[in-house]
Amino acid sequence: MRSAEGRGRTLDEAVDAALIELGESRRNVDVKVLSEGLEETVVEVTVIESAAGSGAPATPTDGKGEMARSLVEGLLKHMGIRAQVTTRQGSEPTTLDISGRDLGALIGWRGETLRALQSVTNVMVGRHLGEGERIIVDVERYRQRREHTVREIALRAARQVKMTGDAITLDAMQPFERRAIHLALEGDPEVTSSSIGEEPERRVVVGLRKPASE
Amino acid sequence: MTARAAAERIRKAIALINAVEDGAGDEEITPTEIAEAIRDCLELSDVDRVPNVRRYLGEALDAVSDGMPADFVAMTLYAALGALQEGSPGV
Repeated sequence: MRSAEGRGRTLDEAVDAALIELGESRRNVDVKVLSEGLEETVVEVTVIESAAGSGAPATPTDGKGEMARSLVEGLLKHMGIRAQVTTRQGSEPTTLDISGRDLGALIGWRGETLRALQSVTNVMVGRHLGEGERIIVDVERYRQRREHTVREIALRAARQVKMTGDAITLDAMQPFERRAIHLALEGDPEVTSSSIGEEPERRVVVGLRKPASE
Repeated sequence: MTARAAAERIRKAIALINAVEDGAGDEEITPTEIAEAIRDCLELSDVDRVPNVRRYLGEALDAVSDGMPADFVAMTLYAALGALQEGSPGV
């Protein structure tokens, strides 16, 4: 797995530095923030294996993954959508990647169609899955890109909160996006994140962490 | 009430189920809350104006009562939403 360290004054600059070294685009990598200071941010950028290849379908990792892949492929064919379905290697839970041209309609309004497709897929293969086991469906790495984006939003919000001391309420987000924000900030000793409101208008609030009670 | 309001309530019910599935870590949603959200949809008269919407919602409610997997409930609600959208263009 190829990876590179990037340094820069901002998160974007650090990521760009690593991307230049790897010769990759942002959509094909996973970004991990190693350290973040006022003057320098250091990140580790890792190329996602299945995205870095030649575009050939990845070998399915197991029977369930192959069954789900084949079912989704058939479903898309019936829908008249020309796309390639591959099983993401080494992913847990099993993740199916759908790629092709003009797949925006398959993602839908705020990812609604994508989620519906994932629900249908899990119902189709449900009897072969264990308790709590799920298949994740991603179109053109939409979920992954969105997670990266919200993680960056979270880090920016945290910086702002530290500078001003004022809490920030982010836009309403889907649960997997809120989860990405909570995970991105859980290791930060200075800020904390919590969710307010009701679905589908539930929002994350980023604020200063209160000192431990004296 | 309009078909748009009905669509919003169905979306809310779907969002509740998705919240449980995605494990945002900040959720405390029970099947009762999901069932209530579906009942809220059934209370709207608009669900009777479009064929199959009430039927799908009823199936979703039964699925929650029967303890069916969340994905199954979500899929049935998506079917209701789809039927509503087909019968009410612009929703």
